[in-house]
This record gives sequence, structure tokens and C-alpha cells, in this order.
Amino acid sequence: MVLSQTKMDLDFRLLFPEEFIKQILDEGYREDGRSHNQTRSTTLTVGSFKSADGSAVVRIGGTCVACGVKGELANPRAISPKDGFIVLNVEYSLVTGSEKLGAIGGGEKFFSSQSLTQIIQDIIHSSKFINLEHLCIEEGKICWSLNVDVVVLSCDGPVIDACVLAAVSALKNATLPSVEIESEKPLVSMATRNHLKTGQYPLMTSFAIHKKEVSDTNIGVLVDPTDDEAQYCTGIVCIAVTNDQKLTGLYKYGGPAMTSDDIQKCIRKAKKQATILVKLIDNTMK
Amino acid sequence: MLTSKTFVKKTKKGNVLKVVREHYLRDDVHCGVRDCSLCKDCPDGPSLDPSPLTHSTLCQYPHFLLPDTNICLHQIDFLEDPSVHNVILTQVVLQEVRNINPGIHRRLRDIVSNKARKFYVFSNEHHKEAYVERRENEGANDRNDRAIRACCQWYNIHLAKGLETTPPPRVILLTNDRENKRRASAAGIESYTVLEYVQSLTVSSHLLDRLATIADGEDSDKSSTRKKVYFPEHLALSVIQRGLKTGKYLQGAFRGSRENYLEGFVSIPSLEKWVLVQGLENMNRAVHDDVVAVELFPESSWTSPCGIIEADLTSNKEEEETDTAQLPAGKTSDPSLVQPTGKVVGIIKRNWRPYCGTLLPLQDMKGFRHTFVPAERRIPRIRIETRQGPNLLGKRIMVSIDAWSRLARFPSGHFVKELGPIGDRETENEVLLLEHDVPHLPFSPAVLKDLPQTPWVITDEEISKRLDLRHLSICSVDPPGCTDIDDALHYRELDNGNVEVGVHIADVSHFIRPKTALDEEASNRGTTVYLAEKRIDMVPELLSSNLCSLRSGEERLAFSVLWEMSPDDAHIVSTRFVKTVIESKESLTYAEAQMKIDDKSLRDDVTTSLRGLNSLAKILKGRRLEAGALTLASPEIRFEIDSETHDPIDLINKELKETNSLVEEFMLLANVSVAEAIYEAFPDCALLRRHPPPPTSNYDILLKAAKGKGFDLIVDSAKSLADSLEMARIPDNEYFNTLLRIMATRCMMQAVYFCSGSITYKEYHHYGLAAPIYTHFTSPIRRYSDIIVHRLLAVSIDSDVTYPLLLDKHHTQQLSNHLNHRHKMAQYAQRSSVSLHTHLFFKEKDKVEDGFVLLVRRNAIQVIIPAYGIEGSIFFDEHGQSALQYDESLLSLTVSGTKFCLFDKVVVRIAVEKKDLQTSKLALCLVSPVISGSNGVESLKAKKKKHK
Amino acid sequence: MADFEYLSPEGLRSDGRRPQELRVLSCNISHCLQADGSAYLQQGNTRVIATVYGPHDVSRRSEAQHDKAFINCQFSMATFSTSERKKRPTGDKSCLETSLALKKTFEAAILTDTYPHSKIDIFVQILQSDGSDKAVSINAITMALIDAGIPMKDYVCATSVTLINDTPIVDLNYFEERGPGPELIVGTLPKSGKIVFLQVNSRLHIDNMEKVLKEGMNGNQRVHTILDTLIKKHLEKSILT
Repeated sequence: MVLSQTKMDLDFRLLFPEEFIKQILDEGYREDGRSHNQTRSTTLTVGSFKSADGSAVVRIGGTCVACGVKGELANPRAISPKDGFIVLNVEYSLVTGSEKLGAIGGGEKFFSSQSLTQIIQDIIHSSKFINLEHLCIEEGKICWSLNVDVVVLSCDGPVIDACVLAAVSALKNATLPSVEIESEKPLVSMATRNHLKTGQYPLMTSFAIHKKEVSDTNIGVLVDPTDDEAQYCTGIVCIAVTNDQKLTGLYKYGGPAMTSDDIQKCIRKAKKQATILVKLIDNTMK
Repeated sequence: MLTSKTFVKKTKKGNVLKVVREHYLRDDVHCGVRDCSLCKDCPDGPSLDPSPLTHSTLCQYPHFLLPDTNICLHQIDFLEDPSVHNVILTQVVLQEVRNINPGIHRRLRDIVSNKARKFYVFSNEHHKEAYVERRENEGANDRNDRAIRACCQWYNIHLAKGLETTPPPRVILLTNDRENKRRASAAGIESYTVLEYVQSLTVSSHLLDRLATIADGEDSDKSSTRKKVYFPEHLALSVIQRGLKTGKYLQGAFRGSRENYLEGFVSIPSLEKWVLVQGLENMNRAVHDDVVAVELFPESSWTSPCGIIEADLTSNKEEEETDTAQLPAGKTSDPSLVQPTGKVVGIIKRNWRPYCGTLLPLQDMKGFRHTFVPAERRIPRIRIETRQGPNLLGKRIMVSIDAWSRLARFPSGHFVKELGPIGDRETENEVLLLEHDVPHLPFSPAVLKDLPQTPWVITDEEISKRLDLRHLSICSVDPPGCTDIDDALHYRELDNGNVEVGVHIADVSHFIRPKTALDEEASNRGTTVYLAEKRIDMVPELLSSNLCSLRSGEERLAFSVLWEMSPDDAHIVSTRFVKTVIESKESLTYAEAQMKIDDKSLRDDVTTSLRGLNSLAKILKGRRLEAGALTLASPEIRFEIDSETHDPIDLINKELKETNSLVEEFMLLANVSVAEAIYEAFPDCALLRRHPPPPTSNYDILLKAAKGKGFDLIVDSAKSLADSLEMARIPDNEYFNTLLRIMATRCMMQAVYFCSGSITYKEYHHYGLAAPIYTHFTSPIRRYSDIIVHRLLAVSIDSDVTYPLLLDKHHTQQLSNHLNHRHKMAQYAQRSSVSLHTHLFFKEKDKVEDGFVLLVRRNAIQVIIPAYGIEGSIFFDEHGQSALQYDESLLSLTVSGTKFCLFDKVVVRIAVEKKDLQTSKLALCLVSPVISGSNGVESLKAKKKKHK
Repeated sequence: MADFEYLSPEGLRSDGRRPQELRVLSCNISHCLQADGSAYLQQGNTRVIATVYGPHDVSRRSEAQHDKAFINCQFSMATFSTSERKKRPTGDKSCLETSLALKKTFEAAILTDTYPHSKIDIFVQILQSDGSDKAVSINAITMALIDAGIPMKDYVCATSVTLINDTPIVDLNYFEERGPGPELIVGTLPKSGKIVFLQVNSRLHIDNMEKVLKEGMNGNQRVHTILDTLIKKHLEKSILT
């Protein structure tokens, strides 16, 4: 259902965008015609950047995120000689026009690239997605260091959801040449490439919180907010769920206080969304 | 155009780099057959006949041949035969050949470019329908074989549809690989081995001889139980590559020894000394010039060359018995002679080429199996099969090696072509030109087209662009009979008390313009080769002996170097390079010039110029020697050739006069001046010449030899060497000093051309001339390097324009390498020619001459005969004489009580020894001192050149 | 090993193209709604995303010019775009150099005097690099500018050219770019044939300049035809929906 906008509505939208959005949200509508509990469609493509060992592009509405994985041979740290590395980095590409808009990272209100990097790194590790020991080639001598570079190409809503999905898909898509150690030197095979051994993986869903004007306790929760909606909302809740429906991360920043019921509602929605995304990944990887 | 796009991922090793390439498949790749209705627009025109003739009894329908990679690699002589037409070469085959053997790839390309041969290259890898993708778990070779079969299938379908001829031609796969053949017939493709196909031909039966005898995998297995295994197996290339990385094996070029067929050396860039390889088994089928992998023995078992001169005389029949010839181990006590020693474990790259030589005569020449004796002594004998045995006896022939199996004492090969009768001058010249890779065919019409029109005159326009020096008394000084005069000189006093000296060099770059066929031909030839009785010109005669030759009384274009010098100390006040027009007043020989200088009564312009030049030259020479330039010696002889029979009448030792050195000094000065100028203008791409100092170990033998006579030579610098050489004189043996210098010359490295951008300035040094920078400018008629230098210099003075390749650093370095090769080969060819003529000269003569011992071996002494400048070995048979004592520290050999030391004077008889038609040799016999018993006279051909 | 064969005697390049053939070029216009104009352009394996913001107010007063718009151009490369991982996506010297070159190119092509006191931002990022990065960036920016409706004198089309055995070959991939020949990148306004961008890397002899340049300009004509068709198709589509 698309809201039919009159000429007056359009003028109102143009002159007072915040007021307009606030008003329709309070009335229980969203600008793009979704219900509060409805996500936009997500598209995923993998392996499109051949220069990377694994890659993925994720689009959620107008948000577009690309991720490339490149493996390098490295020496393990002395304190963890059995472990390889996963180095994750999130960048807002210049093409998002971040400079022009002045805000951190384009239209994204809540997360700077540094905080995105930190959160995603955390949940990838905590979900036991990749066992770092599998990246080891010879203990204490040589291991893989995977550079997971996520580039945000355009922002219109939960960048963090797209980033997690992109990073996970790119890692699942990644193949590395097999390496043997021959007389202390690594010998990289030209012919065979293997997928990484992966475990449970995280999927992220974000909710924006906006306070209804009527009372303090009455809050509204929007799943998958667009950029404009996020500008109006004061807080955000991000919920990471693994593909086998376990909670692996929950972040709430700003906004009015929420009851545990509200949170539970969000978690249920996140779990539901996770099953949709798992299906998406499975279909794409096939 | 582009029909589809698929990605072929190729991963390249490195620091784990993932490399992705696009791979386009097209629908516009032509099948190459004329009149094909399906294909359009063939770039060079289709080359294949729509209904090719067939001469085969196996396939009596019209067909094209499609050889696989191994056929191309091994049966290139078959493919090169002009009777083979209508062949399809696939891109996949060409690429494999290119990776394995660039030389054969070049030959294939040459065939393809010859339109008459009707060869077509089918770019199957980019053909939409013929392309096959590599399957999972499929080896690269299997995939390529499958690609070749896919081409055959595609062609068969395509030809049936696209041609109106009935029956449509079919494609025949030529392969010797059983598996490939089996799969081909399973896929409905006709396939034969080359042997099957050639045997079925009703014409051109000579092709059978041209086939390489590749042992079929099965045959050799069967017989291996009976047959003796001569050699250990070669390691696989992958094993070698790994070994090279870890340093277990070393890679280098194998150099057979000229002196002993059981020895060889491997030159390894990282080692100062060459690695010695002794014994057939250790040499393990390495042939001279192959790139091999060697494994070093532990240092304790290192040894030195055995010092015995031995030629491989094993023939066909004796093979079974005499193969285990063992070397007396290098029983050396002198640690300085010990060399790294090792064995060949594998061949990285064969560098076989067609070899010239003769067939070994047998009682029954009618048989098929023959033994071929190469002219180059470093190449082993080759077993061939030919039906033309009786015809080829007494002829020089050319043979290629095909393979060398573990089960054979000798490599096997096949007959390529016949050159002519042995001993015939033309044939022998041809042999030595072929053996030294000297391009000697007449100039092609395309090249001659680039020559200027005759009669040629200098236009006024040309004169206006140049400095007119026609009024100066310029003269040239050259050896007698010289027709390619490329330099001339002048000298005049200036008003300010200084003098002006000019060196005028023929302006060859005016005639040879870049990118012309003439230029390419000259660049390929690289140098003029002077044989004893003829000259192989680098540029056509019109230029070399006429338009570019600065003959007296004719106006010529020149490129001049003009110096202003102070007359007293030859200090250069200024240097100027300029394009000029000159007229030489006199063309003198060295002797004539010397007479002019000496004749006090003469006062003409030319004479006074010569005197002035002479005094300056002396100062220059003194200064050069002071700086440490070496005066070295090598015996040089010249033949008086009968103008009608072209037989040598007399041998003359080249004599050096003061005037030789006069010309030389100014040429050196010009070269140095030009080198500085072009280096300044083109620091990155100037063509220069350097002479690296030899590693001190090179001097070992010289030092020892001098020490034996009580002289200590100092070799830490060129200067000290020159000084100590000067000191080493024996009053009653004048020739001693010359001998030392001859030996010193042989310790030297080769001077080489190089591109200035490729190494650091410090390495530009010319050791022999003691010059920090040097190039060749003064002989553009006979050296291509000088033409390049002329062009560079012309650009630097703004009288000519550059062209792309002139400024290409990479190209200049490649050209330098090419010229270095040509120069080295020209030198060798010259020496061979001299030795050939020496041989002819002594054919009917018997001379007794003085000689000196130049080198002492375990079983021979090497003697130089100054009168003729020839060298040869005198052998002493160990079995015949009880006492053959070799003293390594003194370098002496005692034969039955007579002791031979270095520099000893001996008297020898020189004669041509004729055992039979095939093997006539120049022999030296010892006349005095008399050796009791057998007069100690075995012999060998006059030494062609010394093995370093 | 023999030298790599960049052009076979049969006239095919290592990837199967003929010397003057471009790679397959495709473009997705207006993919990014936030930006005023955007284009995602692929030329073979080189993939570029370009966005245009503006014209809008200048963000710093120093940028304001009374007679024309200020053009800001930023070039970057994704870390995973090259075979060897790039350490920094922006800010290294070659990126800065490219940014400046692109800025100057489009200053010459955009009718800047239409928008005095304002600013146009051009951002371009290489997502996958397989040669001709600069030329492809120029083509992508052209598409983004058209999408943004910013008036220009003409399309700016660019191609890279090199010489292999005296044959000019156009639209280089990574291997050809790294090959022994000189590289010339030329950007032209195809209708007038005027050159707005020209760069020669490594030595190119003056005698060869003309034919290499000519081939580059021919290449640009072909790029122009393709871009023009794409734009027209895009417009048709957007009008219909």
C-alpha cells in the first residue's frame, strides 16, 4: 500500500521533512507504505569482485554495502601461535558523499565507521563464525590473515545490518589457495582453492525507537528504518541472532527507556528476520 | 563481434596474489580455408587450399594435417620440409611450444609466414565453438590434448558445411601419443603417428630421413631388460626447481671441453670458478650449451681437470666394449687448481641446434644406421638412420639431435641436409659460417632496394647542411688491399699556436636509415666477418666499398670529430662533433705512411700532417700506458691468396708499424670523446663498450708460468700488470715476453657492448684500455654498434632526429647482447677460417720450424709456432713410454728423461697428415729435442682456439 | 621463458580482443538515490562507482567563486579492488594525483559558469581494478554528471592506448597496462574532437604519438556511441515508469 500524497503533502514534506515524518509515524504509517513491523526487501550477490578472494554486495532498500575478503600470509602472534587473524574494517566510501552532508558517514545517524568496525568484529568473534585456529597453516610460523573490508556505498537505513550480512556472505564466499610448507617456505598451490570452515554466523536486525508524543511510556518501534526515519528517531536497537536462532548480541543506543516486553518483541522479530536472511544466503550461495 | 564473455581464473603465485583475466570468445575467427562460405574476413587472407592434394595411401581423401605439441617440438624438420603443405597449427599447440622451446616456436612462425607453405594458425582458444574449458581435476596437458581434439572435430563439421567441394576435406590429427590417439578415434577423428603418415606417402620418400627417431615409450621399456643402462635418470623439472630454491642444485650452462670428451664445465653465475663435471655418467647426457642443473660433490672430493687431451674415438661397433672409459682422477696436489666438482642431475633446457659434420665411414655404407661426427668437438657423436649412406660419404652434412636415451651411449638424431664435399673450400667455408651462426646469404632484393641510386652525387643541399672540409689535406692509413676505408685523419696548425686534429668517419648512418630493410639486415648481421680469403659484408658492397669508403680523390660524407690540441702535451682544448663533407687526398697503407714520415726529403701537406699526428700519438700512447693500458699480444697472420685459385700462397705474420699505432691512438681518442658525449646526452640509453677486469683466479696459470722463469707478476691492477709484464724480459729469448703477453691476453674477459642505463657508472670501465668510458664510433661500415653510436651522436648535435627504438633502454640492451653474440661468433669464425687456410697451405708442404711450449698437459705439450702464428699439440703416448712425469707445480712434463717446461724452444715439423679422405689433420711432429723411442708424435689438428 | 605475447601474429590480444576493440562496457545509471547523480560502470573487469552531489552551497567560503562553480573531485580505490591489497583506500599519492587530474578534466567540460558561488562534488571509487582505471573513471563520472543533469559541453570519453610491436592497442587491461609499452590516456569531447585530458606514462617517442593518439580518439568515439545509447535507453525507461 502506497500512501497517496497530495500536492499539499508534498510541499509539507519538502519544507518540514521531520515534522512530516513524525506526523505520519505517530499516525501509524511509514512514508514508503510499510507497516512498523515490516522490513524492506534485501538483495545479496556474491563473488562479483574477482580481485578479492571472496566478495558480497548487499542492498537493503537504498542502502548498498560491498565487502571484499583478501587473504594474506602472516606470522601468528607469540601469545596465540595457533591462531590466524581476521581483520575487519568498515569504511564509508566517499561516494556516499559523507563530506557534503557533514554528518558522520553520510546519512547514517548512529554509527561511525569505527564503532561499526568494533561491533561487527565483536559479533563475528562471539558467534564463533570462524575458528581462528582453522586459519593457521603451521603453528607459530605461518597463518592466514583475512582482511575483511566493508565499504558502504550508499546509506538509506540500517547500515549495520547490511554490513553484517555483507561480511558474513563474503567470508562464506571466500576461497583460499591451499598452502603447504616445504623446507620452511610456504608453497602456494595454484590449482586448488578451498572454502573456509565456518560455524554459526550472525545476522543483524535494527529497530529505531521513537517516542510518541502522547506519553513518555508509549514508544513506537520501527524495524529497518530508512535514513529519514532514523533522523527523526532518537534511539536504535540492534539485535544479532545466529542462524540457529541464538541471541549473540544486543545493542541499544539512546532513545527512551524500553520495557523488557518491548525488547522481547524486537528479539522475536529479529529471529524471524534471521530466518529470512538465512534462506537468502542459502539460495544465493547455492 | 564479441559473442560471449567467460572468465578464466588464473592464479599466479607470489605473495598469494589472485589474478583475474578476462577471456573473450569470438565468432569471427577464420578457419583459414579459401572459399569457405561460413567465414568472413581473414586478416592475412586464408592460406589453406579448399581441396588439398593427397599423396597418402592411408587417407586418400583431401585432408589437412593438425600436429600436436610433441610433433611440433620433435619433428620440426619434417614440418620444415617444403613438400609438407596445408597444415593447421592451433594456438594451444603454439603456446605450449613457445613455453617449452622458443627456438622451435620461431621456426614454426617462420614457416607460417611463408605463404607458399600454406600453414594456418587457428586461434582456437578464442574461438566460440572450439574453445574448451578445463574440467575439474583435469591436468593442464590433458585439457590441451582435449582442446586439440576439439579443434579437429570442429573442423570436420565446419568443413563439411562450409565448403562445396566433394568430398569435403577432413582433418588428420598427427600425434605419437597413444592415449591421445585412442581418444581421438573414440571421438571419430582420424589420427596417425608421423611415421605411419610419412610411410604412407607415395611421393617425397626423403621425408623418412628427416623424421626424428623418438623412442616409443613401449619399445624402450621392452628392451631395457636386455640393454645396458648407460646413464642415471634425469630428475623431473619440478624436483629441480625445488632443489634450485633450496640451493641443493645449481643452474648453469654446460660447456663441453674441447680437449677432453670426458670432461665438461658448468658456468654458474654465482660461482667464480666453473663447476667441473668429469666422466660420461656425471655429465649425464648434457650437450654443450644446454642449461643444466648440477649437484656439487662435497668439497673433499673436488678435483681439477685431468689435463689429458682426448678425443672420443668410440665408434659404432666398439660401443659395447669401450664405453666405460674412465678418467685418471685429477690427482692434484696443488689446492689452487682444485675446482668445484659435481654431476649433472637434470636438464633444464636443451639448446640443440643442427650440427655440421661428417659420417663415420663404415665397411658397409649401405646399412641404415650410421654415426655422425660433428665438426664441433664439444658435441658428442650422433647416431642417425639414413638410406643415403653411400651418397653422404665424403660429404659435409647437417644433422639434428632428437633425443638421448638412458640406454644409448650416443644421442640419436636425423639427417637434415647435405652441404657439399669435404675439403672443398666453398663447403668448408659454408660449414664454418653455419657453425658460427654467421648470416651469409646474399642481400635480399628488399635490402638492395634501400640503397641510394647510382650514379650518386652529393647534392648542394646536402653540402649546405654540412661543414665543408674538402679543402683540408685529409688522408687515410689502412692495411694493404683495404677497400672499406671508414676512417681518415687530418692535422693542421691554427693561428693561436694550437693544432687542429680531425678524425673523419664514413657517415654510414646517412645511408642506413632506421626501420628500413637495409637497417634490419645490418642490425641482424651486426658485424662484417673477415675470413681468410673473403669478407662477409654487413652492408652491401655499394656502401661498404664505394659510397661509404673514404677513398682518395672522391667527395664523401663524413661524421667528424675535431679537436683543438696543444701541440706540446696533446692537451685537448676543445672537442667538436660535426657532420662534414670531405675529400681524402691520399689513401695510404701503413708501410707507405711510415715511409713518408721517415723520408726526410718530403715536405708536402700530407707528410707534415702525418708527422704532426705521429708525435701527438706518441704522447697520447705514453699517457695511456701511464694510466695502465695493457699492451697485449695475439699471434695474427695473414694469407697471401692466389688471386685465381684462391689458395693460400704464403703466410705472413702481421707486422706492426709505428703508423699502426698512430691510427689506433686517434681512433681510441675519438671513441672515448664520443662515448663521453653520448653518455652525457643519453645517460639511460647510450650504447657503450666495457671491459670488465678479470677475476684474479684467471691469472693463476700466468703467474705460475712467470714464476717458473723467476718473474713475479703483479695483477692487482691493470697498471701493475702492465708494468710487471714490461719488466719480464729474458735477454736471449725475445719471444718470451710476447709469449707472456699472449698468455695474459687469454686471461682476459671479453669486452662487451652494453646499454648505459643497465649498470652503474663504475662498471663502465674499460680494463684493457684503462678508460673510464668507451664506445665504438670509428668503424660504422663493419660494425652495427657504430651505426647506433653515430645516430645517438647525430641526435645530440641536433643534426638528426631520434626514432622510438633508439631511446628504448630495453631494446638497446637486447641489441647489445645480440651484437656481443655476433662479435664473438665472428671472431671464432675468423679463427676457424685461419685454421682452415693454414691447413690448405700446408697441404702440399712439409716445413720444419721453431716453436715454443705454451702449455703443458699430462700427456701433451701445446706448441706455438711464431713464424706462422699457429698452435698445435704434441701428444706422448702413455702406454708406449714408460716415463711420463707431469709436475704440476713447475708445469713441466718429463718424457723419457727429456723435460719440457713452459717457454722451452722446440723444433717441429708441420705437415698435413692424411689417414684417409675423411680425416686429414694438420700434424706437428717433434724434431728436436729427440725423444728416444717413438719420436713422440701423435697429433691433433692445429688448435682452433684455446678453451678458457 | 619467452617474453609474454601481448599480441599474437594472428592479431589477437592475450584476452582474445583485436587491437582496437574495447572491452564490454555496461552501465547502471541512477542506482544511488541519495546522490543527485550516480553511475556504476563496468568496462571488462574494471568496475567503478561514481556519484555527483550538487550543485549546492559551498561548504567553505574559500571555495566560493563569483563567476563559476567550484568542482570538488575525490578518487578512491576499494582495498580489495587490486590483486595486491591496497593499504589505504584514499589519500595515497596516486589517488590524490588522479583526483586532481579528474577535477581538471571536468572543470574543462562542465559549464561551470552556470552555477556561480556553488559547488559540485564528484566522488568516484574503483571497486575492482583491471587496468585503465582513470579512463573508466572519466566515463563513469560523465554518466553520473548526465544523471545529475549538470550541463556539460559534451560527453567526456576516455580510453587508454599502448603500443605493442608498433600496433596501437586500446582499452588496456591490467597486464597490458603493466606491459613494456608506453601508456597514453586520452579524454576527448567526441563531437568536437577536442582533447580535455591527456596523459602519457613512460617514454613514448614523438613519432609514435600521432598514431597512438589517433587510435585513442577513435576509441573515444566508440565509447561515446555506447554511452549515448545507454543514456537514451535509461531515459526511455525512466520516462515509461
